[in-house]
Amino acid sequence: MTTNTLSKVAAIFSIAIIVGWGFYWSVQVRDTMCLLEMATSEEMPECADTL
Amino acid sequence: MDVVFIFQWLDTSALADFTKTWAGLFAMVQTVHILSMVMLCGMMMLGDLRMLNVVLKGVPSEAIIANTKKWIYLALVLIILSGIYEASAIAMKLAYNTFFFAKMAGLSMGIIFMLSLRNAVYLRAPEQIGANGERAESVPVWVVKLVALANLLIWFSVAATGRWIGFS
Repeated sequence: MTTNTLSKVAAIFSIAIIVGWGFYWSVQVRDTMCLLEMATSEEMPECADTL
Repeated sequence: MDVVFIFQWLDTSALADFTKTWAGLFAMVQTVHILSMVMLCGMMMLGDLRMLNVVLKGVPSEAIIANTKKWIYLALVLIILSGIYEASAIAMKLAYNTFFFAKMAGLSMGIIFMLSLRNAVYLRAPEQIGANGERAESVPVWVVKLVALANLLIWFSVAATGRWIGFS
């Protein structure tokens, strides 16, 4: 593989991983915050529908 | 794809019987698993943070990558062996654990990423980072830094989901 091709492939995969990582962990944090809200509030929060 | 049968097989294996009988040994193997993970992530961070020009700026990156490689491979072998031992004790719990599969996905991705792109890109890191003389062809600095960041995030996920298994 030439250095130019390697650079492009590495850049594409790295960006995909960084974006995917951000999406995955933002969902995990959102779900955790929702579970915390469920545990502390008397009424069922709206976010519970998306869990 | 249904993979529960693999966990059922592991749960009824001789290894599982042994693991469940010797609980004290399980604690020791778990310690080896965690220490291996620490060693792996530590060695990865040394290389990645050097590529990001955060640590050991005066040391050629090639020296760091060459010296950490064998410890990364040793840690990987220890992680996988101790991981199989640990999994056999709680196989049916893991079969329905989302974070276990997230960890396995992260681990697979991390190994493939390291063996294919990380190693290849770091070998062709530019002079500014490599500090080891001029090269005819080198990967742009921003690509090297992007690969370092992506690698750090992958192994963060492997460690974090691994801990999350214990709390789920």
